[in-house]
Amino acid sequence: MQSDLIIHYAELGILLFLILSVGGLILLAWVKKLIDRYFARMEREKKRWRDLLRKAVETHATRIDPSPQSRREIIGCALALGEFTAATPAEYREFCRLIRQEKIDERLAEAYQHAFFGYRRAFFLSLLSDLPCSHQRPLYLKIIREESDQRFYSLAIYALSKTVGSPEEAEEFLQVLAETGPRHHLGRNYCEMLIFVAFRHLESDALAATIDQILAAPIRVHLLHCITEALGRFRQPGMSTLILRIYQAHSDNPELVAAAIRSLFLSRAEACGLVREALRREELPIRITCAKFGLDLCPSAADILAEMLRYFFDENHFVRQNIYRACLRHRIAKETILTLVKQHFPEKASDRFFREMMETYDVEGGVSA
Amino acid sequence: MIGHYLIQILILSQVIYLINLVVTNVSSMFFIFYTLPGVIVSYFTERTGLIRNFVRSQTHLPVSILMPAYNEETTILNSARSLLGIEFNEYEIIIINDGSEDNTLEKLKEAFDLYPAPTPPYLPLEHERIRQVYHSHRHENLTVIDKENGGKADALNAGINLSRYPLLCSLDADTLLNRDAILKAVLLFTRDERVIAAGGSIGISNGSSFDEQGRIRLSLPRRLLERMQIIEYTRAFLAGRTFWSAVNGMLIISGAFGIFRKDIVMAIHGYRRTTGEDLDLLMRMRRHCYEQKLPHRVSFLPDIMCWTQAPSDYTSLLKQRNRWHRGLIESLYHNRRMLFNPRYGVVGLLTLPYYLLIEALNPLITFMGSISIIILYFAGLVNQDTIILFFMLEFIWGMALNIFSFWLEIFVRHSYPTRRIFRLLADSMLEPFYYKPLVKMEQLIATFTFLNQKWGKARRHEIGETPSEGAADTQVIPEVKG
Repeated sequence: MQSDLIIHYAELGILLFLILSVGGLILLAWVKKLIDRYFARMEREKKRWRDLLRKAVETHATRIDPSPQSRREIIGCALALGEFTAATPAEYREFCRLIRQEKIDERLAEAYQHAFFGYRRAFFLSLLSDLPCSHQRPLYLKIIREESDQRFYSLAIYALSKTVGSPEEAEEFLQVLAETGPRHHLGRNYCEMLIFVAFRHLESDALAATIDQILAAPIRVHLLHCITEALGRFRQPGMSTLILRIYQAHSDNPELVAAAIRSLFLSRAEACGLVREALRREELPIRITCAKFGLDLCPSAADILAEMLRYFFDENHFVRQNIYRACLRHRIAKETILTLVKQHFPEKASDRFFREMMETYDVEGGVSA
Repeated sequence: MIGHYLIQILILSQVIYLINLVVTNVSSMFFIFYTLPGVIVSYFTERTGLIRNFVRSQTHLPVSILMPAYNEETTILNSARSLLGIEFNEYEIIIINDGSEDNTLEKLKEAFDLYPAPTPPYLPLEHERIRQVYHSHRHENLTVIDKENGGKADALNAGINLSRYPLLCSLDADTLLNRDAILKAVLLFTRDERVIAAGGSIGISNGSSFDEQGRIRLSLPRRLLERMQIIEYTRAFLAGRTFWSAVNGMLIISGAFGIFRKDIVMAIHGYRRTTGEDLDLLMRMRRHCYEQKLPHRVSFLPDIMCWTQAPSDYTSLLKQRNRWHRGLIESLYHNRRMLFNPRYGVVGLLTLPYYLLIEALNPLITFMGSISIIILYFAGLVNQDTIILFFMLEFIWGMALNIFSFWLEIFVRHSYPTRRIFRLLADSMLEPFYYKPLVKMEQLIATFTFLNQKWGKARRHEIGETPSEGAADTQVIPEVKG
C-alpha cells in the first residue's frame, strides 16, 4: 500500500517536472527575446553615439553634446567608444578626456561593482575593458589581484593594457603581467597581444624609455620574448632599434633570437649582421627562423645567399622548406643555387631531397637564368 | 531452483536498470543546471572588442588544418573553399586524399591548379605510403597529400607529418567551418597556456543552405530522422560537453572539428588506428599529461563552430552509431589503466567511470532492464503502476531533459528561432518510441562486436541537397564562398 503511494507520488513528480521544464523553456525564450531586444536597442544607441562622438572628436569639443544620462545611453556610448581606435597618441588622450568628462567609466565601474549576477559583472567589465581610460586602473588591479575566475582576470588585464599611456604605467603593467600572468597560466601569445595593445598609445620616446627601464631591471625572459614579438607586430621600421637593443642584451637565448629575427622581418628592417651571427648558431628555433627570414633582413640577398644555402641540407624538414620558399620568394635563379651549392657544398649536391626540390623549383615559380 | 535464480537475476537487472536510469537522468540534469550560467555569461561577453584587438595584433598561434578525404568528391570542393575564406591570419590547409576510389583528387587538382611538390625524406609518424604531395598555384597555403588508403587516423598522421604549425585542426571533409571558428578556438589556447585541445559545438546542416558569404541560413530538415539528430546533438554538446569542460574532465572532441597542440600529439605518436580515433586521441593526450605531470586543460565553446551533415538514411545512421559505440568501448578498454585511478584526476575518477557506466554499458543495461520488466510483469511480480513509473522515468524524464537542453540552446549563437525550437520539442516527444530504441539496439550490437575495426560509409549529399522544412528556406547555394 505504502509502495503504491510512493509510486503514485513519483509519477506525479515526474509529470510536474515535465510541466516545469516546458514552463522554464517558455520563460527563458521570453527572457532571451527581451535580451535580444535590449541588445538591438543598444545597437541603435551605439550608432547614435558613434556619430556624436565622431563629431566631438573632429571638432575638439569639450563635451559630447548631448551628454549621455541614462544607463542605456551610457552603455550605448561605451559601446560606440569601444569601437574607436585612436590613430595617434594625441587622439587617444582626446578619447580619455571625453570619457572622463562624461564619467562613462565611472558609471560603468559603479554598475560593475553593484551587479549581483556574474553575467552582468562580465558584461560591464567587457564594456569597461574597451575604454581606454586610466582612471579605473585601481579597479582593474583589484580584479586582477583578487579574481580567481580566468575569464574575469583576462578581461581585467586586457582592460589594464588599454589604459597604458606613459612609461611608468607601462612598467607597472608589465610588472603586474609578470606577477599574475603565470598564476593564471596566461599564454605567450595573449601576453604579446596585451603588450601590443599597451604599447600602442606610447610616443616613440616613451616606448624607448620603457624598453630601457625593462632592460635595466631583472625581468623574465618569457616576458622579454613577448615584448620582442609585440614590437614586431607594429610593422614599423622604427621599432628595429628597440628590437636590436633587446637582442643585444639577451642574445644567448635562442627563443629570443628567433623572436628578434621574426620581429625584424615584420618591421622591414635590415639586420644582416644579426643574420650572420644567427648562421653560426645550431639551435633549432634559430635555424628555422633564420632560414625563413634571413634573406629578407639583408639589403641584397646575394650578400648572404651562399651561407644561407647550408639550410638546404639541414636535418630538419622545416628548415629546408623555409630556405626553399625564401629562395622562391626572392626569385633566386635555380642555376645560381646549383652553382653556389657546387662551390660551397660539393659533397651535398647529390642530396635526394635537394635534387627533388630543384626539380620542382621551376614549377613552383622559381626563376631560371 | 533454476526459476528462483532466474527471478533473482531479473530483479537484479531491474535494480541496476533503475539505478542507471536515475543516475543518467539526474547527472544530465545536473550538467544542464551547472552549465546554464556559464553559457549565459558567454552570451553577454562575446561582444567585447578583445577579439578585434586579437585580430589586429595578429598575435595568435598559427594553425595547420587537416582534412582527410575518402571518396568525398561531392563535398570536398565546398569544404576546401570554405576553409580558404576563414577569418585567420596564418594557417595552412592540408587535404589528405586517403586512397579515394572516386574523383576526389582529380577534382582538387582541377579546382586548385595543383602541381607535384617534394615529399619530406623523414616523417616521424607512421602511415601508409604517400604517393605524391601537391601544392597549389592559386593558394600558397594549400597542400594536398595523395596517399594509399589507411583509414582516417592514418590519413591524419600523414597530415601531421607535413604540418608546419604548432596547432593542428582536424576537420571532416563534409564539415563547413564558420568563418570565425578557428579564431575563437585559438583564442582559448592563447588565453590559457595549459589548453592542449579545444572544440566547439557541431551544428547539423541538413536542410539548411548557405549564402554567398558562407553564412548559414538555418532551417530544419524535412526528414524526422535528421531532426532527431539535431535534438540529440543539442543535448550531447550543450549539456554534456560544456559541463565536462567546466570541470576539466572533457574526453571527447568531435572529429568533425577539434584543435590540438601538436607537441602533445607528437609525444603520443599521433593517432592510433581505431574506429573512435578522436576519442582515443584525447584520452591518450590526457593520459600523457597526467603521467608527465603537465598542467593541462581541454576547453570547449558552446557556440556552433562548424556544420556537418548528419546521416539522412537509417543504414548510414546505424553504421555511424555502431562505429561510435565500438570506438568508445575500444578506447575505454585501451585506457583502462586510468579508470578509477586517482593519479588521473577528474578524468580517472569521474569522466571515465561516467563513460563506462552511463554511456558504454547503458544499451546493455537498458536492454536487460526492458526485457526483465516485461517478464516480471507477465510473471505477476510487478504491477502496472511500477511499469508506468519506469515508463515515465525513461521517457517523460528523457523528454524533460531534451527540453532542458533547449534552455541552453536558446543562448547559443546560430541557434534556431524559438518557433523552430518548439517544433523540435514536439518531435522530441517521438524520440523515446522511434529514435532512441533504434540507436540503443545498434549500440547493443556494437557492444558485442567492438573488436570489429570496420568504418562503414555514410551516403553523402552535396551541401543543401537535403530537403528542408518550409518553402522559404529551401534555397540551395551550391558553393560556399570565402
